[in-house]
Amino acid sequence: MKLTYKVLPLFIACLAVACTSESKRVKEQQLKSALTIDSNECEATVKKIFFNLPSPVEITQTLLKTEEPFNSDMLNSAENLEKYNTSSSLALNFGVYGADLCYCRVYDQLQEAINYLSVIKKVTEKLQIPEDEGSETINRIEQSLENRDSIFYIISDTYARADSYLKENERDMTASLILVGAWVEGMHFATTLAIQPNAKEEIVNNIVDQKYTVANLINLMNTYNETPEVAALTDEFNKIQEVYNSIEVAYDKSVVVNTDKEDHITSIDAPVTVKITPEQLKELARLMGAIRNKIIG
Amino acid sequence: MKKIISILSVAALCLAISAGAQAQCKTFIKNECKPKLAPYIYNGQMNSAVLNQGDMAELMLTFYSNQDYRIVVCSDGLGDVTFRLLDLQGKELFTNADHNYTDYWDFSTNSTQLLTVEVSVPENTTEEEPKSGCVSILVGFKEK
Repeated sequence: MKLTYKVLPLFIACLAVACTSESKRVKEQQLKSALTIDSNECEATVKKIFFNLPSPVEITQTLLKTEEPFNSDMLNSAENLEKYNTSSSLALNFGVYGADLCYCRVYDQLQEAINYLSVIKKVTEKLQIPEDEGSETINRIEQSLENRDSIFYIISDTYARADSYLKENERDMTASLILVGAWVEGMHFATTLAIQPNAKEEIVNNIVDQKYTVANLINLMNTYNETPEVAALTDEFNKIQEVYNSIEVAYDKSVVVNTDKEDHITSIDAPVTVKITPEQLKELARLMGAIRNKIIG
Repeated sequence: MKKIISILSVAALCLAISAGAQAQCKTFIKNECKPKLAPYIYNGQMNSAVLNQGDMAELMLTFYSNQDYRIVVCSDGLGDVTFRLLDLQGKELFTNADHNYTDYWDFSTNSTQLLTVEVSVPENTTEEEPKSGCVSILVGFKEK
């Protein structure tokens, strides 16, 4: 009988894991119904939906195509690391520090980059990501700091290994929050620069382009909104989405698709006209600042 | 008691098989799929699942106008897997069925868009037991 009491909770735990997966699958199907405009019979067979967010490298490359000078005040201080003790806060700030590292790389700030490498190492340890999945790769970055071109590849590899390890170990939420943190930090850089006098039009356009990523991000976070920390952030992202929804975007319906069979490439020409007002931009900057403050503490 | 032990053994076996399939999937992605992304930078997100014949999976992805993208769709022993790129209205922009079911393709857009990569595993048309296997959608990007 004693053995029964010992094994039953284990069995229930196993069932709970199975039920969680089932509930996640049902949620994904609900999301699919919400997202699909034209329903068709194939819908029933969609087994898995993935929502990808830009990686720290991609977001910084996308948002920081600018000649603005390096500004260390925009970065999250390494000293803040001590404040992060929950898995969610660590994951979010793993992303934040990753974007900070990429920002330093964009501006060739090697000493700052080394400091952020050290912080990221500590975060991976706190998140219990094994060394061969995270920190070892970071050692490679330290050895390659002089080789600028390889650094982005190595940073990407670091985040890919962490993502893979976390997903294999049923820590999908942690993996997702890393990307959310990176996106918030990237947007913080961009909106801070965009509201400065004489801000470049390109950076404003890049911010508007994030409209689609916000939609993806909210869909992704809805998968985990049973976690209070995630639910609180989702509320903030909903406010950001409201601003994006108010931005006037005009699509030209004449999409031209050209496929080059030899080069294995398809080019999609879909003209879009966007009108963002200075007020909308300021509101985005304010909301991004607020959400970032919540994340970095 | 015997019943509980039997149930637990089955549950443990299921978990072990699932873990084994995932580990196999990871090795497959690392060896067979990731190298196909080069020279693009991997976006770091492992979109993989064990799918059955007839199943579909989808990836929602923002294609930024200032980046080029490579999509790699890998499958392990599931036949000619189809992958299509669709816009938000469901309009097909690309299908690999027109290109001998190639497992990778590059994309470039002149305006940022949210697009869907839809992956379909062919139905089982034989009388054999339906197969299942690892399917992975990987994304690479590079600055234009």
